[in-house]
Formats: sequence, C-alpha cells, structure tokens
Amino acid sequence: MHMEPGMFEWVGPDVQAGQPMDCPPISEGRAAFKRLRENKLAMVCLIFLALMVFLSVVCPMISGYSMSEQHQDHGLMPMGYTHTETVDGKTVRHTHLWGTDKFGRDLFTRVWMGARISLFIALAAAAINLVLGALYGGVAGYCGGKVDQGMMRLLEIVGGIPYMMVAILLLTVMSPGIGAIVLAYAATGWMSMARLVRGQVLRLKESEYVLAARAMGARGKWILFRHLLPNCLPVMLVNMTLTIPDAIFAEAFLSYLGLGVPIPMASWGTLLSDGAAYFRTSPHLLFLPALLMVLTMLALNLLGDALGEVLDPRMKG
Amino acid sequence: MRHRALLSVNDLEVSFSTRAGQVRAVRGVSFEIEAGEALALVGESGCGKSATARAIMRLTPCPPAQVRGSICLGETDLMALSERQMQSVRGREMGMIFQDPMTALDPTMPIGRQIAEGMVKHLKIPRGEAKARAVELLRRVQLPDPERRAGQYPFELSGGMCQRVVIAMAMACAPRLLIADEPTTALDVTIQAQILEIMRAIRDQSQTAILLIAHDLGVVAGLAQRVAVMYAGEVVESGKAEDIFYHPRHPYTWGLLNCIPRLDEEGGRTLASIPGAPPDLTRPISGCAFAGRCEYCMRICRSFRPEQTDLGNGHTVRCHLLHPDAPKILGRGGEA
Amino acid sequence: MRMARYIVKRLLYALLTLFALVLVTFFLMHLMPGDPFVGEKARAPEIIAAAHAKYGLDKPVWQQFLIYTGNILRGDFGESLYYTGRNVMDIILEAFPYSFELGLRALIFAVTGGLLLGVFAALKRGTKWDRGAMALAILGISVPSFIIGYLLQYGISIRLTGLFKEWFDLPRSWTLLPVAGWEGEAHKVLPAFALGMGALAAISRLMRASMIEVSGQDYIAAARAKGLSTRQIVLRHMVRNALLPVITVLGPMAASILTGAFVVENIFAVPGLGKFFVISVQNLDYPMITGTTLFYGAFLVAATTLVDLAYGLIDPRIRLK
Repeated sequence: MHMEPGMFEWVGPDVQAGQPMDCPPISEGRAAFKRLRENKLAMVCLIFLALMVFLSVVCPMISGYSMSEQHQDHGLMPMGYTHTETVDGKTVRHTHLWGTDKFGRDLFTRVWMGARISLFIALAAAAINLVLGALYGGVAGYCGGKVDQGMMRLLEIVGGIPYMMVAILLLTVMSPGIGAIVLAYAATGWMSMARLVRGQVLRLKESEYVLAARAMGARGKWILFRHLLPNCLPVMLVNMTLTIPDAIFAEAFLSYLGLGVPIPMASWGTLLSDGAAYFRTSPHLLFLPALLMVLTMLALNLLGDALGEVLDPRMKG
Repeated sequence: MRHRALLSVNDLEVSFSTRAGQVRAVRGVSFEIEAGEALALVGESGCGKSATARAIMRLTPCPPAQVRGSICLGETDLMALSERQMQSVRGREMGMIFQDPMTALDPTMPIGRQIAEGMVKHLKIPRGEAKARAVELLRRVQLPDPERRAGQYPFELSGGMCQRVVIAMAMACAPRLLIADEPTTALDVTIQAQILEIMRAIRDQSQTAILLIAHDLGVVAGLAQRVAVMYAGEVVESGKAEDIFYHPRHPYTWGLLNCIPRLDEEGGRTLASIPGAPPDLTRPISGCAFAGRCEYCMRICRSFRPEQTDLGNGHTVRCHLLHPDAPKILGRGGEA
Repeated sequence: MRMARYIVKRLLYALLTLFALVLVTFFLMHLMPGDPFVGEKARAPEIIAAAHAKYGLDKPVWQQFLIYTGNILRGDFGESLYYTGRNVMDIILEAFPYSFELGLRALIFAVTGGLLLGVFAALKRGTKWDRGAMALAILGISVPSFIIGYLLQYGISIRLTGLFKEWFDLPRSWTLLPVAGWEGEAHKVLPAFALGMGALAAISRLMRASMIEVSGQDYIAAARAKGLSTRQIVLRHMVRNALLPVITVLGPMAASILTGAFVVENIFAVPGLGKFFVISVQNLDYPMITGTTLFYGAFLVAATTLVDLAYGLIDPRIRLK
C-alpha cells in the first residue's frame, strides 16, 4: 500500500457523503411528466391524437364540400373519383379524395366531420363522467362511515343494471341528437370513476397534510375540493383516457342500432352503419371511418396504459 | 482431504440492473457454516443480507440480476447446477423461512397441503402420508391443535402461527441448511422469543445449519454461535458471537451494538443510532464504504479499501483502525 | 355460516338491482312521447280503452307501478306494436336461445383464449412473445366487434374464399366459412369469434397483470424455495391466485357480450333476439324494447350473481370469513 504521511489523521464523518442520493428533489408530477416524455410510444400516441383533433377541425373546412351536399348522379364512387362540371361556360373539376357515399356526398368531408362529432361526444361524455364520478366518489369517501356505506350500496345496486340497455331506453325516449347520446352514456358511465375516486379519497383522507389542513380549521368542502380531489387527478386522468374509447365504442354501437346523431349529420358510428350496407361493393365506405376510429382508440388505449404506468411505477408490466 | 464446511460461500457478488443503473448489492462476500451451527448475517436494511440469502437459494431472477462467485453445499457446487437440478436441492437440502409469514403462505391453499407439497415432491411419499407428517411437523413447531389447523387457510391464523407454519414448511424434508430471512421482524416481541426458541431446538436436535438474517444484534444473541456484520454489500466484521458482542473491533459494529436498547444502562442516555445512510451502490465506492458515516474516519479511509485483518479464533475485521500505524482508541475494542 | 350470509347478501342485492331496473323502465315508459302502451298508430278506440284498462292508466301512478310490476312478474310484457298481435315474451322466448348460444360460444372462446394468452404472456414476460401477445390484446380492445365482424366477412368469406376458388377450381357454392346464417357449426365460427374477440383481449390483459402481480408475491418465492417445479408453481399457486380478480369481471363481461350480440347477429344474420331488438328500436316498439331490456337485465343480474357466488366458493377468504 502506498503510504503518504498523515494518512492516519482523523478526519471524522462526512455527512454529505452519507446522504443516499445527491440529486435534487423533483416533484412527483414533474417526475411523472419526465417519464411520460421518455416513453416514445406514448408521445407518438399523444401527437397522433392531437393531429386527429386538428384534422377533424380543419379538414371539413378545406375540403370544399359540405357534409350534406348531395349529388345523386355520382353516388358510391371509388376513392380519388374526379368529375367535371360546366358552370357558366367554365369547366370545374371536382375531386373526391375518398370517393362518395350513396347520396354522392363527399366521404372525406363526412369522415372528418364524423371524427369531429364522435370525438366531441366522447370528450363531453368523459368530462361529465369525471365530474359526476368525482362528486359522488368524493363525497362518499370524504364522509365515510354510514354515508359511504349507503352510497356504495346504492352504486352496487344501480351498477348491476346492464348500462347499455338503459342507454338504449333513454335514447328511445329523448329526441335524438348529440346531447342525447352524451347524456345516455354519461348517465351510466360515471360509476367506475366514482369507485376509483372514493378509494383514493379514503386513502388520502388520512394523510398528514389533510390532518394539518383540518387542524388549521379548514372546512370539509374546502378540504375536499382543495386538497383531496386535486390529489386524485392522476388516477382520474388515467381513467378518463380509458373512458373516451369506451364512449366512442358506445356511440358507434348506438348509431348502429339507429339511435345515433340524426341525418344529415355524420359520426363515425353512423358512417360505419351506413357504409356497412355497401361493404361488399364499396368497402372503403366502411373501412375508412373504421380505420380512423380504430387508430384513435388504439392511441387512447396505449396512452392510457402509458399514463397508468408513469403515474404508478409499481404497475409497470 | 480438506475438511469441507456444510455451506461455503466464496466471493459472492450480486448485482441488479435497474433504471438508476447497476446496483452492486453484494460485493464479494465469503463465509462458511458447519452442520449444527447458526451463523447470523447482520446489517441495516439494504446492506445485501437478503440478496445473499436469496442468491444462496438461487431464487434471484437472472436476468435482471447477475450472481457471481461460488456457493458450495457440502461437495455440491450450487452455481453449476441446472435449474432442474436446483429444484431437487431447494426444499430437500435447504429450506427457507421468510420475513413476513402472512405473505409467505398461499392464501388459497390449506396450510397442511402447503407443507405436504414439498414432501410429496422430494420424498416421493403418497399425499396422505405427507399430510400426516405435516400435522406432526405442526406439532413440532408447537402450533396448538395441529390436526384441525392443518385444514385451515392462512388468513384464519395469526402472524405468529403463520410463522410456525412457514418454519414447518421449510423443515418438511429435514434439510441440512435452513435460511431464515428476518424470521421475527414482522412479529410481536413475545412471539419473537418463541420462534427463536423453536429454531434453536431444530438446530440442536437435528444438527441443522442455520443462516440467520437479522437487522439487529438483539435477535441474534440467543441463537447464533457466529456473527457476520455486513455493510454496503460486504462483510466488515465476523467472528464468534462472544467476540462480536464483547470485543467488537469495527466502528460499524460499535454503532450496531449501541443500537440495542439496554435496560441496565443508567437513565438519561438516549438510544443511539448511526447518523447518515448507506452509500449509493450504483456508484463505485473508493476507500472504506463506511467512511462517510464513521466517527473515527481517517484520511486513508477515504481512498483505500481496508484489507481483511485476521485477529485469530476466526475473528476477522475490515478496518484501517487495526493498522499498526493507526491511532489507538481507548475504551473500545478487545485490548482496551 | 359466513357463506350463508354472503349468499343471502348477494341475492338481496340482485333483487334490489332488479327492482331498480323495473323502476327505471317504468318511469321511462311514462316519459315516452305519445302513448307507449298502445303506440302512435291510429287504433280503434276500444283497443285503446282495453289497453288503458289493462295497464290501469286512469289510476294513480303508484297503482300503475304495482300493476306494471305485477305484469312483469307474470312474464307479461304486453303485445308488440310492430309485430302486431304477437306477445313480446313469446318473441323473446323464441329468439333468445339463438342469442344465448352465440353469446355462450363467444364467452367460452373469450375466457379460454384470454386466460391462455394472459398466462402465456405473463410467463414470457418481457420477451417478444409477451410484447406480441399484448400488442394483439390492445388491438383487440380497440376494434369494436362489428368492425371485426365485417373484416372477417370481407377477408375470409369473400376475399379468401374467392382466392381459394380461383386456385383450386372449387364449385361456385363453396365457401371457406359461410358469410352469414345459422345452420351448422361452420356458420357459428365467425360470429362467435367477432363477438368474443374484445372480451378475449380484455381478459388476457387482466390475467397477465394479475399473474405478474402474483408472481412477485412472497408465497411464490416460498413455493420455489420448496423446490417445486415451474409447472407446479404456475398451475397450483400462480394461476389459482391470479384467477380470482379475473372472475369478478366475468359478470360485466357477459353483459357486454350479450348486448354486443345485437349488432353481430345483424351482421351475420343470426336469427336471435338482436334482429327483433334492432327493428323494435328503429320502430319505437316500446313494449318490445322494455321487454327485452327487462329480460336481459334479469338474465344478466342472475348471471352476475352466479359469478359472485362462484367467486365466494373459490376464494376461501370469502367462504370462511
């Protein structure tokens, strides 16, 4: 061993070196966001979804057709169909990028318009679910005891009813429209959110910062809305990402039964059910909206998985 | 021919690949256990004692972990066995007791069957006979009313009872080596003593070797004849239990001994603890791993890893304080 | 005794759920435009009067509810407005067996396939097999059953059949798998597949997660420490424990399969309840809609309760605690 003089001098403990980690503390949310950004697949999904929203807004505007403009003379045309028309002595070329439906309406316009309506329905339904579920679950979890027990029993009883049947019943009673579909789905879809929020609130209620808030004299409502519910946001976000595909599913299903948005409006569901009638001769009428819808659902499901993993690293599969 | 210990572990290294990097959980650990002897591995949580125990059972999943070094059970080199051969060693030649008895038992299977399972597999006896033997084992670990209990599920038993079941399960095929990973940590103090008493009886009656993992020396005192103190993945001091308890030479052992609450101390003394936390094992450690927290740290400790010093009688220490040039500390250690 | 209490509790919940369902349908009937018990078509005044008398429409609401509940309990859902002269219960009883068979086939396919895929993926965790299986599963939950249905019809029954005919010079009537209908085993493959695919994917994801959760438990390490073989550990300890959370979703899953059948039956021309239901929805045939809703509700509540009871039998913690 190489010996220098003074090697055996006391230097005492080094408190700094004793610290397990010398990286700066990062907040939980920021760490989660960083992990999400590192997840390539999740970022691809996020970008894809943003693009879908953007295109569904822009495409119907720039397509040059309206979603209800009919041309009986060239219905059911294939993709890329072009025809010329003479207006005031000038020849005008009309191109239908994705062909036309049975009434000669431009499919490109209708599919993107359908994307707009379907996405709107899904987002609105998920938002209502979120609010209803957070309120019901939050109150049940916060009050605890008898109130919680009663509210959860009620949920169990109501939750036993097959929700799709109730949604169908509701829709046959209400006048058809976007609002009716949103309501029909939201009336039945909030229960899983309520269960989730209740569980979280029950857990968080006992944490120290809530006790501290209570010790400082904060009232129940304040604690629930300022402390408990914001801290449930991560799980609510994951659940919401997974309810949106559910709502898209439900919209398509209800449209297929003939309970969708009224004509001449289009949603993915109505496009699918209209296209289905011609799928042997013009399969693109069915498969184009189906493709967009499936890709959107796939992106949402993948994103939901990634979010769940990022917010709760234990869940990593 | 050279005498072979029942279990000899040589230069064992275990590392895990994690998101934060390569964690070197065990860094060159060596020890031996003779038949009928109990060796205690002691250290703070995260010092690599459980990783050592699991590596000996070859329960460490590789990958993500890597295990190097040699582990010999009698004449058998465990590291050279295939997974299938290892399966006939686990449970037969060595049994394992887990830290939390409530989670170490399958919640959906009656405990009698869980004990019998290993016997059916290793001893090739019919299920009925194995069940009868399971009841016998439950009686041996002093579980009251063993016939009825054998048909019950883990959730119907208390933690202490479950730990007796876990011991019976590990003992089912009368293994030569018993590895007990903090067998009393999850239990009440009164139950702790009973469990240790059962383990002592097993050691004495059937000459079973025991590797006892513990995080405080108090648990170890009554059972282990030899003690190895681990810190940051290496053994810093080892020797006969009396030497470790009455003549400890490593500052970390001093720290651990101060951590045992004692009733005979005069009042007013606070329960000591060692300030700071173990080093980050994802980074290379220069010098002595304990240097950062050591009250007696010298300049040399920061840059050179201490060699192992043999004090005779099987007492070895890894500390620069034992170097002849080092200043002597009065009132501590063997010579004082 | 604990088990008895558990059973009573579950049955009580089932009854309350059914009651809630009856209440919901009753009030929705009252909200319906026009005269839901008779329909909007012009009818002879004496028929309307008879219907009013039958449903007690001139009595207070609570009496109407009692009459309504009484009718339901007797299995009398009224007469269909669209299929005039036919009793709703008769239509349901005639058509439901087809739907039930289709649903059962789909459920069996989904459960066996899903469990196998989930266990397989969990055991091959982190490998390309796992990633492949899970990619398949996430695709499965992202594609609605009717799109799968049309894809299968188009891809297998039309395109692939056409290709085969071209290559092997087969007779005109030959098909790989028939496009639609419900005559033989061959007709039942595609609809069951289309209907069960989503549930299969969901079950496989759940089973994989559950298996992974279980495999990290101490009792699995303990089982390995006993020297059991991988096969024994997987079959006796892992699958058994991992199944429990999966069983709880079977009830809701059966519900989604049965309602999903409405659409799939239409695609494949299965003579089940789906066809009648879709037509009744499109024609606002209220007795038929509420009748089917109540019937399905009762059926699914019964199924879910059975699943819960089975769960109680399998999990000793519920059976004995």
